[in-house]
Amino acid sequence: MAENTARKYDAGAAAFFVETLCQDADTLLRFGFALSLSDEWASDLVYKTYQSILPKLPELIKKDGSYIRQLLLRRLWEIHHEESREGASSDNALYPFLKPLDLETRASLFLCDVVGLTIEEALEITPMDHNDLRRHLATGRKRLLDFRFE
Amino acid sequence: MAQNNSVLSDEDFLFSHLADYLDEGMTPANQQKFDQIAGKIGMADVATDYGIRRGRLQIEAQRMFLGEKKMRAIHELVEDDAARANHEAAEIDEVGSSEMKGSVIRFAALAAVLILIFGGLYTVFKPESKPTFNALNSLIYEAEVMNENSEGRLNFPSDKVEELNQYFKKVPDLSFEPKTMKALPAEWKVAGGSLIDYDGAKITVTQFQNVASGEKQYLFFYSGKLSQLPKSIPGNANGLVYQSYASSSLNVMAWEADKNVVGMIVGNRAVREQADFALKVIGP
Repeated sequence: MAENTARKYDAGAAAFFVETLCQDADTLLRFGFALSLSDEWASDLVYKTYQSILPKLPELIKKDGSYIRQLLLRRLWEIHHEESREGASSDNALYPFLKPLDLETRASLFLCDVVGLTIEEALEITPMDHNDLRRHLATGRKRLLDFRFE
Repeated sequence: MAQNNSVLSDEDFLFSHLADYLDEGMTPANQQKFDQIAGKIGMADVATDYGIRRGRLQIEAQRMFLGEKKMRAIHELVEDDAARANHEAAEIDEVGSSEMKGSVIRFAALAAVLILIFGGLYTVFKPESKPTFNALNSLIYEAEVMNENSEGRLNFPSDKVEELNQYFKKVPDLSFEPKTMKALPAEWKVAGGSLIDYDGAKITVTQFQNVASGEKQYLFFYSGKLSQLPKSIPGNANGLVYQSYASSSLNVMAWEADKNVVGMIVGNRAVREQADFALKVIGP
């Protein structure tokens, strides 16, 4: 998956990428799964997300953690929409819970109830009407209250 | 973006405001509307149920993490061959060091016995001196002990934040003013608090318990400066500057909560999560 081409990043930028940006990799993976319902595609989305923000690396060094996390989540959402796919099966315990929900509901629920974003922060990632997001969130939470994880 | 709650159905309003309700982040008008709807449709306990379910969802989500190979592929986006070689060399060293660990542990056990013997002798015959308080080691130890069995170790068991704030305010001869706890994240509750006295150094501790999993974490405050702790790479969580440490079983996040007051979160959560927790409970 990695490209073995000449690198353009100094040690400081590379360390920032590995030690700071990559701290959000697991959060991105989980968001990727909520969108794609596939472990494999979720991993691909994470890789493509990091790949896509490389040109912004020098400016990101000056930003704080919440800005970076928002940016990464938004990029992952955008990349998913460039090639939207949905897994048909998975052993992941979240799969049977998420599968009946539509994409926007899964995204809203995940961003607010798993990542812990506010409605306003979630809206920056998944552009939609404020009340539409609240409706999706309500739908997801109703299912959460009804569903029993194994 | 403009808010227009009037077009939400009562049910959608209720369910989409559950987190705000638990976090006590609603306007009085929304709070009143929430209570009215919950009463009307007979769902007075919905917020508690939701808090538990949300905790379970978060636990299930946390079971997912990126494998080492996938993470390596991402790191290789920025690392050149030399950096990669250094990484690999470091990993080889790590494998080698793990083989050494067995020998080190045996040596450490022997050394510990000798230290105990000579330490005991020294304690008996040493001249009187002012005891020193090693915050990091002492508080990790306290957390480990309370993790194993907190029964009887909490001077003031309470599940109410306000009661604990009052309890700490009334502690006599405390050389600092304990920071007041505000709202808790929905998935956590307080279990109680204690005062620890290390012959001169008084420490307040609050025990938190995860509603869904029962996991515990601890918030300590004591009089001191962050710079007195061992050096570590500083982190910044939305303005909260902290230092992080780890024992074999617990993570530690320490920050200067006030002038000459150090706050310390000790538990199993990742340091960044601990920092977010501190921000929520205490503020920057």
